[in-house]
Amino acid sequence: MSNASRLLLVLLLLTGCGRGAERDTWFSALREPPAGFRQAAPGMSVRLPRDMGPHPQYRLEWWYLTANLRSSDGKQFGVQWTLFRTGIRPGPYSEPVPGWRRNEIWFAHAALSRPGEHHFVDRSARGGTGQAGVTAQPFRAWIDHWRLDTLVENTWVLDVAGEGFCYRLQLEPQLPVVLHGERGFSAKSAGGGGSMYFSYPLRVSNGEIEVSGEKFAVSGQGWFDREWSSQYLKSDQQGWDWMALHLEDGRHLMLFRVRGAEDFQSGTLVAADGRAQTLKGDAFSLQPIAYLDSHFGEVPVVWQLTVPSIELDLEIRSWPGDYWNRGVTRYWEGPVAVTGSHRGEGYLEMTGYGHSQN
Amino acid sequence: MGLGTVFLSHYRRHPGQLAGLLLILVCAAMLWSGVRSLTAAAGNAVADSTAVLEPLLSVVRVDGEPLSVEDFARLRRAGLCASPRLEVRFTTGESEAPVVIGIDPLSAACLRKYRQRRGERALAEGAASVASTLMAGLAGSDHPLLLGSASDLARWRQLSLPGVEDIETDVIDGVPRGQLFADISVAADLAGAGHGRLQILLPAAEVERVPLPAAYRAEVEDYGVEPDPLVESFLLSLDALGALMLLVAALLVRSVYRFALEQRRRSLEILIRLGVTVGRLRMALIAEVLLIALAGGTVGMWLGEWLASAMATGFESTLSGLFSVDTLVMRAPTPETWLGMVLILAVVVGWACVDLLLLGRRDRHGGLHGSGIQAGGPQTDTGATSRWRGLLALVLLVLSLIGLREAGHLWLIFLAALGCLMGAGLLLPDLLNKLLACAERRCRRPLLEWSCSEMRALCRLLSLPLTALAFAIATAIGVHAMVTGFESTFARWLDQRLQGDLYLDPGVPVATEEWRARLRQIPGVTSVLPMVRTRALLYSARAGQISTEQSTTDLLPVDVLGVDPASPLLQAWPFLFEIPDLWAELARRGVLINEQLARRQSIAVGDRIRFRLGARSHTRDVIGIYADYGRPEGELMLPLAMVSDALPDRYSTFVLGAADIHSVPWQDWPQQHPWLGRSRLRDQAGLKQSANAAFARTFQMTRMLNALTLALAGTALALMGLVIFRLRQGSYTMLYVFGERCKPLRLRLIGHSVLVTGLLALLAIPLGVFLSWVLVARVNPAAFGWALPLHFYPGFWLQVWLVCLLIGAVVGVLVGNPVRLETLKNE
Repeated sequence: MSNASRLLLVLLLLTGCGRGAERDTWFSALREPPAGFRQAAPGMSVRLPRDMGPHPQYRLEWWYLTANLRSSDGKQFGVQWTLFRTGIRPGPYSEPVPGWRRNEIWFAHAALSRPGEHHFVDRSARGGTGQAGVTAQPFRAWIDHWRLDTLVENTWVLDVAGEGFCYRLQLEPQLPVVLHGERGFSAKSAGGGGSMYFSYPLRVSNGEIEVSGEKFAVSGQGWFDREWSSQYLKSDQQGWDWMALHLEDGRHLMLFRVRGAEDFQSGTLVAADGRAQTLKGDAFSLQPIAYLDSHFGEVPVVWQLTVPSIELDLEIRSWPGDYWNRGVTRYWEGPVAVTGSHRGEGYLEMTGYGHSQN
Repeated sequence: MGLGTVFLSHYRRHPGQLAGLLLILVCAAMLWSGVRSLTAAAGNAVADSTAVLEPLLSVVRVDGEPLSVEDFARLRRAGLCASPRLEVRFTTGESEAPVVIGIDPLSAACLRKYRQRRGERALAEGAASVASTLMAGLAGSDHPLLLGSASDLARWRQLSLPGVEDIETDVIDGVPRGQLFADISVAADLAGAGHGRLQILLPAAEVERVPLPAAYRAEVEDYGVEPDPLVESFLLSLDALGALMLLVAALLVRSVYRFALEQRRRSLEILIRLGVTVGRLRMALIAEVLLIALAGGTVGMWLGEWLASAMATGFESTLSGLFSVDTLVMRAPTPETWLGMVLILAVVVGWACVDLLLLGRRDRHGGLHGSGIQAGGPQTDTGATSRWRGLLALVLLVLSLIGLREAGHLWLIFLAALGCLMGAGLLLPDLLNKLLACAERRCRRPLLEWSCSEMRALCRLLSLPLTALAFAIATAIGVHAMVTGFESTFARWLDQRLQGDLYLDPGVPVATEEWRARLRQIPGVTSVLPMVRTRALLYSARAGQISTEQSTTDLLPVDVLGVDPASPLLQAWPFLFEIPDLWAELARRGVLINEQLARRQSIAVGDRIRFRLGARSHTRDVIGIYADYGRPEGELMLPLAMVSDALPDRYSTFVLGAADIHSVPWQDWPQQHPWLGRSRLRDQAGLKQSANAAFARTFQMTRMLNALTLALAGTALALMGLVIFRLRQGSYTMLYVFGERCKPLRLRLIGHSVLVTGLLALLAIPLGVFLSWVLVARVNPAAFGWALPLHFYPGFWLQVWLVCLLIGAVVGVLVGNPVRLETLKNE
């Protein structure tokens, strides 16, 4: 196991301690060679439902969910829930489970956003005890009492209680599955390196959010990402900007830009009928046009997106406020509003920005 | 030549003035930040100890099966913040084999003792708590890691267990003797070579938030001992004294600055005569005082932090020794510390600015000479002003005394105490002056009369530094009384809670007498004292009156502690009030109650109380009241015979005496005696010893603070004394011209100095005693509901008085020869 990835683990898990240069370390660790773990590569394919489950041969993977919601009286909410699995040793593991093992560690982030308000909590758990895990069929992901569970076929329930907020949402993944890049291999640089990556747009219904003692019945739409690999970035890459947008005409867009010596960008356009089309880097332009001087330094909060081939010219604007997830792996994860040639909403994630101020 | 150059030139010619001013500022800032950091560090240590001492529950299965990893996952998935603990014991020929404690660093934060505060620089800075080190080890090494003290790790290596070659070891401070810590996966691997016992622990408050699943129940793992209220009282008193020190520091800095200005009066006058406008001069002086305050304050804060780091170590070791707390990390100065410092500097700068603003206004009326630069200075005190000030001080004193007597709220008590001190402080130099005036009137010999008059002049001129010295003396006496009182109280508190050599918690309710007999059989055990806890309902009867028809609403729940009155382990127990032959009377007819219950219900020794224990009501005489610092509930202590095993919620623990605790292999008892398998044993003697040693360091450092306060006041007085005596050189020289010899005059000057400080100390000592009384008898009961004992320490008063005489003598000696013929030139 490489030094950098060890350090990554320490930093990922010790929430609240040693918040110095962890951001740089986190990204340097993401760039480290796999060292015994398998690496996602072009030519690999996604197999479902198997790939909804964990991949112990890979070092880092996640189940990532964001949603833009509204209450019956029009109040807006943003929800993020992510479960990460990080391998200490490459799997598959031969020891019997459950047991006290040191093979893998699970951790999870939960956030609830309102315009000008952001709540964030995290948890971690040792793999092998049953305290956290994922099963592919039926699909179940959990850590302690937080869970993303299959309720009935093609309907999930997300149940999370944090400090000061909780939510319970009913989610319906919209078929078919959206495979990014080359049949699910999503390159993160021109010279190789990347991850296996697929998504489901989500319809959210029968949701209930409780925050600051107030309860809201909510509904809306969301985005679910499933991604796994061992080496995500190249050595010269510092971070990424990612967004998942839902346009009013029923289309969805996933776009990301990995920043480095030479930026690398890619995206996927999902038509209203579910057909997906990969957008190569030269097919669109994604540029920051306004910055926020936030608590942790400058971050781009307004973006201009143009996709000439489909006549999209969008302004993507973050909700007013500060949407830093203030764990050790500090990153920006917040809802956005879309205006311009089309209207819509979505989520913006930015990593690798800001300074180390607490 | 700019004003800056002129000022620099002045200080080049008189470096002593600048050094004096800076020294006082540095000392004041150092004193303040030292006190603040000490209290802040101690406060953090208390928070940590609270964390460690939080009541812990151990989860067990209702079906009696041993716990497994599935149980842990089940509890976590139910939303309970639980953490596992796997204890592995090794059966070897050697009795001292250390126990391996496996914890899960990922869930350890549920138990507050393992939790680190957000924002702390822990890992990289070497703050090696067990959990964070294990966390680093978990992710940072392919090799399993074992943590412990150097001696335990050495013993571990001697065990030469098979299959442990690749285990790395690391020395960590502050872990209990005989225990090694490891990640739970490492402990699970080792369990094959020894005997493992899994516990799942959770804070008691957790089951109030989320009920336990039906298949489990919780048992008390640790009631802990709770020193928080006791230590908090100490901290509150220290805070109050810290505030007083702030006042002392501000007074001293103020007086030194004023005299520094006085020394420069002539050069400032020359500047005005040379055409420098008063406004410009004022701005330059303000800039100067700001610069000096900033420089002195910053250096002082830095030195104070340095001082505090030594003090914090004392507290840290204390609490970790007592309760196996991990470590306390030194923190940067708190905002309050900086605020205090800014306050001192603001007082100094603001007061100086007021002087300088007045300087401009008066200058328009009467020129700089005379009253100008000296505005607010001692010479401006006319008789009328002095009378008004005295009257004001007296009114303040009287009102504050009334307030102190009547006030119930803590802040009002503090305010009234401050008013008393201010009033007394303002009155003291005047009082001294009046005493000397009285002496002057009675003097028959002219030189003696002159001496009295001269000392009165000193009192007038040095009123501010003398007031500061009086406060410093009062603070020193207050701190001493409080610290010494706390020290003895703490010792008694430890004696009560850590009696005997070993404490044994069986882990489950047991048959008391049967266990007592079994424990007596264990080799090395000399005495066994069962302590049975249960609850009772006290009929809310006022002293001596028992109503026979009381409703259940009058029933007050109280704790009950059953002890064996014949046990030798009890014989040294101290009491606040007691009757003779107490233990025999307890067995026969008596009940002992704690101080809280006595105060709350106004019960005294000799009163009869009625209480219900189980289904039966009892009436017994109160024969003793014991101090029970910090326990919020009332408690009855009864003979063991009354607290039968049949009572509901009864729980027995045992205090054991041993012939030689070091030769008794008590760590191995749970293996040697299977019936002790679920028991927890605590080394009382070792804990007591380390707690005493560690607190002694804290007390020592607090005393150092005391010395620093006195030294600071002495230095300020010396600095000002030098200036004042120089101002008075004219009158000494006049006596010389009239024929008095030089040497006696010099001795007379020293005598004046010694007499003034000595008399002041005599007057200030009652102020210190008063301060001690306020802290222990007014503040403590208002804040915590019980009183620390108030003791008088005349020996210490004598020491303080001698120090004051010494300060006076040093000032007198430093002035040197008071005869300067050139001072008569202008006469």
